[in-house]
Amino acid sequence: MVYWISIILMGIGIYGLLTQKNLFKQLISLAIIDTAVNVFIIAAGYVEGGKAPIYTKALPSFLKGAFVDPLPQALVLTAIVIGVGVLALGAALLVRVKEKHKNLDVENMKGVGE
Amino acid sequence: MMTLAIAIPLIAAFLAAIRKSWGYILYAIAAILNFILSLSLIGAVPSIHALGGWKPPFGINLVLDNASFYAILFINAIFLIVAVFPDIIGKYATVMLVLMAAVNGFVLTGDLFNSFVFMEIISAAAVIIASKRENYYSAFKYLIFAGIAGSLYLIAVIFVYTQTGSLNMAQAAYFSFSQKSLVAITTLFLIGLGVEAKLFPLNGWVMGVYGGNDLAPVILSTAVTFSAMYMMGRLMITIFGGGVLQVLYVLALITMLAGELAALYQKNLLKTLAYSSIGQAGLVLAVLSKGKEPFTSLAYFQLMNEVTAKLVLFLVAGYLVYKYTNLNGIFKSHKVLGTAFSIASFSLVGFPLFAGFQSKLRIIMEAFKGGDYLLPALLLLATLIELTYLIRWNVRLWFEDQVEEGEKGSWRHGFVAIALAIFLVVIFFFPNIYLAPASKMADAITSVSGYINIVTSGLGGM
Repeated sequence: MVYWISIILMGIGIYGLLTQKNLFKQLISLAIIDTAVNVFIIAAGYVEGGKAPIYTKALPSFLKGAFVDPLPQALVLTAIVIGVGVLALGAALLVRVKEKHKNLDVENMKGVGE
Repeated sequence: MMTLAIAIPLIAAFLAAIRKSWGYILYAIAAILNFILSLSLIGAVPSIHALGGWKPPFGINLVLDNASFYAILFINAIFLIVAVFPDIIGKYATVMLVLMAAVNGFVLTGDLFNSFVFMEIISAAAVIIASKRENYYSAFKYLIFAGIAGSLYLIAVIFVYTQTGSLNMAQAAYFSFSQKSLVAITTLFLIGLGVEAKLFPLNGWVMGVYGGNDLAPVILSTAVTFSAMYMMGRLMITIFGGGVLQVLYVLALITMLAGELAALYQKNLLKTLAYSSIGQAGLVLAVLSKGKEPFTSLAYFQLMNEVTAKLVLFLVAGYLVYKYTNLNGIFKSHKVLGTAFSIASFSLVGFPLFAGFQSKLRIIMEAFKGGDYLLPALLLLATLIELTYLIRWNVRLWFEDQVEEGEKGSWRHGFVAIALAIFLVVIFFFPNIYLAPASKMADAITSVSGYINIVTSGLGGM
């Protein structure tokens, strides 16, 4: 079920990348794709009815195999950090693009003729 | 030991971020140390390093086999050569150091998720390098391409994890995937790596980035391309043998022709060379996609020749393009640079007496032996196109009437370019300088059981 959220989000992201002429909207589309991938990873590690993967005093009940896979969650943390880095880099570049070409709309940008 | 190849440039990068003025010196020191370190690693081949003591199936491990050893040796040599040019590096020393760390890590790592992280660092650093000389729009396009590639690469990694329950490359190589999941995984990896490897539908960023400044092509078309090609072989042949190699073959042939044709119609020197490097990448990928010896070793042999020639071409072109506005007849004032440029372009085409001849001839002969007539035919066609535009540029830069007064050239550029150009001639007479490492790399890449054995030799608990 959660996979569908991920697939729909990815579709939105790709649609945005293909149709938007504003560079900032393209960047946001990229961020949506990142989010979709993160949701996908979390969904891959989910176990039906599973609990948080933390060892507590209630350990015996966990041994029945009912906690979600912790590794994808650790991976997602890293992926989120990378995504934020890329997003910040893109935004910084766009500030410079706006300064140099006066506009963020691909059709109205100045000096990108070639 | 091999952890230092990642740690030294990373520490230097932090120091360079604190003291900007030390940037170039730190870069030079790190490049020298890394090169010496990778030379000294020859005694440690083959071995693995389990990070934090977490043995292979659990933690991240770095794998040093013949393939990754020669790859980091070659890559660090390129970083060392670039260290000769403080004016090219300029204010980008910190980013170059991060790139150096990431490329070394990308080649050495034996963990799929770790390779994704290093790939993202490579593309972030490469985007910043691409933005030199106010080339912001091209850099942004590159960021979008690399961002999507990274996402698809990550999905592929997660597919592998859900199938095998591990992120370890050796475990994935050992696991027998079903045909369907193999196709899905390799397709995603192909797209993920295809952006850095300049595969046909994914190379829209190349001309903007390589044509935009003098630093980006020198380092991205050499060291980063080499690491991407290494990883392509590692993933497509060693770890997920089979998969979509035929698709790669077709796309690579299209890449080769499209790149060379586009180069034919370019008026800008840097952009011509950028398209030409797409064409060459297509050739290497096409040969690599055969997936077996002796093609794999020839692919890496061709790649080494191409990278050496491209380093010379981009060094000379980047230097001249930003010094003069009109390049007609400019080599009359820069005879040394001109000679190096001509030798490198002849080697790229594959004239006898130059390195490219050795690799291209071998590729054609082996392809004929294997009963494949498509690759030789297209390769010869591509070579013909390449010959046309490179001769045209050589004629224009040597013999047309000089418009601008030539200034005194930089001795660093002259020395490095001519040294590398002479090296290309030496390779023709002693091809084993490159061919022997290339075939060792290829042996390590095509031997799946060898790779698994190296990693399992360090097998253990936590």
